[in-house]
Amino acid sequence: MKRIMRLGALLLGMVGVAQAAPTTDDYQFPFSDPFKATVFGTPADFKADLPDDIHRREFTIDLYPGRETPEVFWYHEGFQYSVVYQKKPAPLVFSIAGTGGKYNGGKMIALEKAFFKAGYNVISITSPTHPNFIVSASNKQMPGYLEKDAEEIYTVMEKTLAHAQDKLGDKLQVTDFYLTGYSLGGAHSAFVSKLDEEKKVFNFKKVLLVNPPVSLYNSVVILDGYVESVGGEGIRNTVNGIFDRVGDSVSHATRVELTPEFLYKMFVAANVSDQELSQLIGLAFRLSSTDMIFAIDVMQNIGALTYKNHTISKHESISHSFLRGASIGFLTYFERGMVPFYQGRNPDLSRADMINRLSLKELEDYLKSSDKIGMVTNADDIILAGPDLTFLKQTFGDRGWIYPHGGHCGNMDEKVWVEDMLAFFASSK
Amino acid sequence: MKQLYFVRNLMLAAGVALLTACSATPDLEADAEEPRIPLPDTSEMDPRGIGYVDNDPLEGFNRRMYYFNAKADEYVLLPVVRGYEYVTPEVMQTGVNNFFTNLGEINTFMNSVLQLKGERAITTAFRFVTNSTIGILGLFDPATAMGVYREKEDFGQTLGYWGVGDGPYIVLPLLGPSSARDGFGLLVDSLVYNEVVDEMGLKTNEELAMMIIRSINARKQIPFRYYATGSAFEYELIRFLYFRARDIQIQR
Repeated sequence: MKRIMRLGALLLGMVGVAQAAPTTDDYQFPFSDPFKATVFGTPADFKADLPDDIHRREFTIDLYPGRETPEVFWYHEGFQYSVVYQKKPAPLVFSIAGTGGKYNGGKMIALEKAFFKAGYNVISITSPTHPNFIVSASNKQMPGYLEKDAEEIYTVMEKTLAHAQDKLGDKLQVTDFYLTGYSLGGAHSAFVSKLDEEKKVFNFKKVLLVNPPVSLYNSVVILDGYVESVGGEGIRNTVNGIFDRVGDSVSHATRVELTPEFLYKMFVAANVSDQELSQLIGLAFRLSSTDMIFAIDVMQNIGALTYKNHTISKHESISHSFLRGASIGFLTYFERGMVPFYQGRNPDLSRADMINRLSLKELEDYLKSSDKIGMVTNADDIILAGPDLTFLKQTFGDRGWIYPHGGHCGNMDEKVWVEDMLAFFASSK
Repeated sequence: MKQLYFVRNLMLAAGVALLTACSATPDLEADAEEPRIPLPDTSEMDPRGIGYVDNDPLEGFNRRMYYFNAKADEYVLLPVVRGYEYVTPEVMQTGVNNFFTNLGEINTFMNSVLQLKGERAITTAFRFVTNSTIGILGLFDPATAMGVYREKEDFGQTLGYWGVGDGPYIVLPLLGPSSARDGFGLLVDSLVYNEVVDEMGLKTNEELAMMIIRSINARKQIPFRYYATGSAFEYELIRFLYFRARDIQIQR
């Protein structure tokens, strides 16, 4: 049976990677269901063997010395980032987090470990959609416009690098620069790479887009749709139902431990359906958008989720803002936040123009012709709409490779995935 | 021990004063405007659902305490835990944790009995006796190696088992999220624990040292870090998760 399954996986793999660079034959990801893959990630047995003990420091840098941090964001004083260093001359990878992701999220840490093991320095950058970036690193404070985000990320890269070199001295010696990012961070990487062609500060040797969206708008429609299709009440019922079942599996467990592994086991045992998993993905996305919109609102005094012209004290209840924010999503943010904001700066810009610009298609020629840029994704990535996968295949040709399974970023620490990813970066040395 | 009681009473008194004095309602400026995104209708919402909790009348106090705890964590507790980890060999850290866990079995035993959970009471008693003797005063945990796993029952769970609702949410100084029921439960459990410690016949400063090490160990065991996700709504999410987690514990 196992052999048949392996053969099946191989055949499927061949369909998926007909024109891909690394061979994905050895790839054995246990979830053929993209929702399970996205939520559960890679189970321990399939994970790459990564070191726990790496040279790593976290720093906070004041990027806007004159700017006062609002009281309600007292814990976002300064921009936080991490740096992984080799203590000898080595190339450095800039790594950009996905939507609402922080420099120290699980996927970012896994990348840091993989790069460290392979001999790279790393600087991990929080997504421009995360409150810490909005509060302490952004000038325009209206994230999502990829080209403008790229400018801010670029500045952050220059400043964090200088800061880290100043702090670490000889421990951080950089020979060349590389760039990667997952999900929204993948799309950001493409635009940052394009910007670097003009600015030429880093002259990236290789750039890898991991599970990037093609059209941001289309991806947002998919993810928001998971929530919109059932509504707030539906989501609450789903969450309650899952907790009830987790409770049942906990009461029948022979041994209760408060470890991530145990909670993972209980969650799997709760038999969450695809429908429910998609709602959880939608919910996670909605929590990110609520955080993001709240941060923008506070910084710009827009008065969408918060009272306009009001300074929120650090002890004040903001539960009402949470309820308001959770009732809308990224789409509302796009229509009522981004479109008017950027039209205010450029009246000729239509809504349709904006949708087109927030897409890798905007860079199609560049991505097709630039040999240093690679792309990795999964054939069942849930954020890709109908023709998106074909676009990725055609645009990246043999610089792109596609695994048959893995959902959205569910396989980023899988054994073969990590090997292929490192091989891509090593191919330029 | 008397001084400790005095400190605790003082804190309780200060707590009661705070409870009644603070508010979480926004203190609006004259030109402040209502948020443009309307507040969803909460009348039909599950008062325990994610995003909406209707049992936090002490929110003003709770948010202040939450902030205080986050700061205490950053400036006192976590540095102390790091220092402890630095100077103490790992074997000893495990021993210390086992020791306090073993003392905690007495509370679990008592509460298992109060919930008429006979089997749990017996396995807990077995663990306590085994670990206190073969496990050398609880420094080791041979019972787990024998396949007799630890259970946890506290007085809050006992009350919940007998149908007492959790009541308003309360953030306790240093200890964090709790409820009226569980806070009271904690008080009962600590009285029992203190009786046990009294039986050991320690001197006041020895008891104090033990209390400090117990607190350091307790903080060390919890991986939670305030504002680690950077979400402005951490308070709301923790409040939601606290009640769900307690429901699950009571159900077991």
